[in-house]
Amino acid sequence: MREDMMTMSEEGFQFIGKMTASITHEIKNVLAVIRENAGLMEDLIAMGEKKGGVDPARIQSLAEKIGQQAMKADGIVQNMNHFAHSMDDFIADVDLGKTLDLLAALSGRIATVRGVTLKTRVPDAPVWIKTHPILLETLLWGCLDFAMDKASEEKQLGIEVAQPEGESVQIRIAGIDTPEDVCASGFSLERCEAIRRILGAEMGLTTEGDEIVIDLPRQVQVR
Amino acid sequence: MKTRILIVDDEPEFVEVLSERLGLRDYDVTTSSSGKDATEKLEKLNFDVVILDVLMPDMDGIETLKKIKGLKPLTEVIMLTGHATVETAIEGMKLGAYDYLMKPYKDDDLFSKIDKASAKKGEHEERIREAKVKEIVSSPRSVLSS
Repeated sequence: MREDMMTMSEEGFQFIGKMTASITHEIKNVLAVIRENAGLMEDLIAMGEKKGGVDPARIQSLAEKIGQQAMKADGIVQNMNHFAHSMDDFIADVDLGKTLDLLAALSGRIATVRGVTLKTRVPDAPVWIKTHPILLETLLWGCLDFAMDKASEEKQLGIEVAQPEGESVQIRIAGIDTPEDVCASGFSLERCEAIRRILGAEMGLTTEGDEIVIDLPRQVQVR
Repeated sequence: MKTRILIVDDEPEFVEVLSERLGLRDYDVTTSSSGKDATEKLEKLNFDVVILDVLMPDMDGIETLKKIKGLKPLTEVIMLTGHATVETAIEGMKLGAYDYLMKPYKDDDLFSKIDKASAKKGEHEERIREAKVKEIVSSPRSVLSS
């Protein structure tokens, strides 16, 4: 049990650290673009002073670009805020669709750097389960990380909530190309095993080895 | 002669604006959105300074830096980084990058590093020219064998 707690904490902290680093990196990129646009505005105004005027349309276009970048930064910060609040309660009602969208948004930059695109498909109506939000996000990240490494040639991963009306709910990550030995030995993520048990989740690969399937109970058992 | 700069970054808006700003300061600027494209440009063209983003898809900054130094050892490289990748930038300096800058940076820091990097390359080339002249003066036959 103590060992489980240690691996669970280690995996959880690494996940939180990885997401925070990626988000702050994205924010710094946006700030750099804002900084350059503001700098260009200053350059044009300084040149305009010497040449007797600056084109107002050009300044307006740069101001608009700065505004767009501010909105982009706002979206990133909102995601970070939602992510932070997923740690408010150890057990809570979670909308799986929103969780997948959030995870895809948080992992977007990491996926891009690894040459992979992420596409979520979630039902219009919320799919609620009662679970440990941060542990669920950690488990899903573990699966997504694995899937990015094993992404097929198209390099596009589809993440969806399936069978929302069943006894359990299912998350599928499609677009992987798993080596035969992994398929034969059965799919497991050693680093997420303790988390998987606490969530009461079942994980596996389709027989073709092209999708990860995660079954989650609608209500986690409280220990 | 204008300082020839190659900007390598996968963020198109950043590249576009930085390129215009450097152009206004009379630098000769070429842009590239990936390490692969950058090395292809370096095979055909000469640059004094490369401004290289550390974190890119396809080919990362360190791999790109190694290719640049393999193709054009005298070309100076300034690495651009966010917080998370400072260690990579330091590793880059060990591999021959001139310096690094953290985004967002101060304008003066960037322009000053570009000018110093370009001057360093110029001095290095001058020393090579002088060495070649010395070799020719001391042993004129070496010209025939080279």
